Amino acid sequence: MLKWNFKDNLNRFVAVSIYVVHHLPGRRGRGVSEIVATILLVLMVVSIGMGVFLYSMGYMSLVSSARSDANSLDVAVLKEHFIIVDANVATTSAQIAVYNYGETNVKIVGLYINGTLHSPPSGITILPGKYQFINATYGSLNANSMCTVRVVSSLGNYYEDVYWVYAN
Amino acid sequence: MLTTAKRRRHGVSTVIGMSIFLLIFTMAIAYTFMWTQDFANYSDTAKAQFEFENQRNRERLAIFYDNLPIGSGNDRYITVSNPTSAVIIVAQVWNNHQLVNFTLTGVPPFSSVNITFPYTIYDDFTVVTTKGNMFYK
Repeated sequence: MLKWNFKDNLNRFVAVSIYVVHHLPGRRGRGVSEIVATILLVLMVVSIGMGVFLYSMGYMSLVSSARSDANSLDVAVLKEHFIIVDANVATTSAQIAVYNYGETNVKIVGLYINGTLHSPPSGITILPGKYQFINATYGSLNANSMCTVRVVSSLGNYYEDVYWVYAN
Repeated sequence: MLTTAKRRRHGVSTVIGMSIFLLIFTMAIAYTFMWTQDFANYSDTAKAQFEFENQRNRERLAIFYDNLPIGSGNDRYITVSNPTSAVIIVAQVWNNHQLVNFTLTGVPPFSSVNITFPYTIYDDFTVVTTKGNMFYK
């Protein structure tokens, strides 16, 4: 990819221009001719203009790409929908059924029980209109009590509810 | 004539500068247009999702269960009643942490349908709709 170092090139150009102007034949006597001055001016305008153009093009391209990516992500977040349709929570294990009622795939990357993470190893992908079970095992929960279950997607959406803990 | 020629020579860099400026300006406009398109796309999605949430919030179902066998078999059924003016599609029926029915069943407005499943001793049901609502019996 073309790397345009604007400052270095401008400095180099100005130095060369001064050198050329000072060593022109007849410089001491008659001054720089109009043609040479025009050429220099054109060269300066072109170089500065191209520098500004290339810089702004790179900047705009970068901003536009970032904005486009962010927009795609925002749209995907809006379109993602899922709920826990069943949670069978016992004192040492749990089986959570997650249903995807949106139109896009949902990737579940986190399962929290009472705030403790029990992540699926590599995430669980649920197709639109389908459900998947997520299993978790843990130390111990108090039987006949309530616990909070939260599932988190790769896009940052989450669903949380409170469920009864059954004795094993 | 001489003055005109002189003017032309003096205007060269101005023309080039103006051309480059126009180039940059056109590019900026093009990128602005692209950003606007992105925003319009986001707005359309947000509007569609808002409408979806509205429809979702309007869903209501009443569920009845008598634990009566169907004919001479052991299968049972629940009656799902839709008191709203929109069609509601039932996606799942859960009973005792088991999915007992996964067939899409449409419930017409102001009507009822029976959804069958194998015999179960538990009488707690969760009915899930395609819009992500859950109704309990």
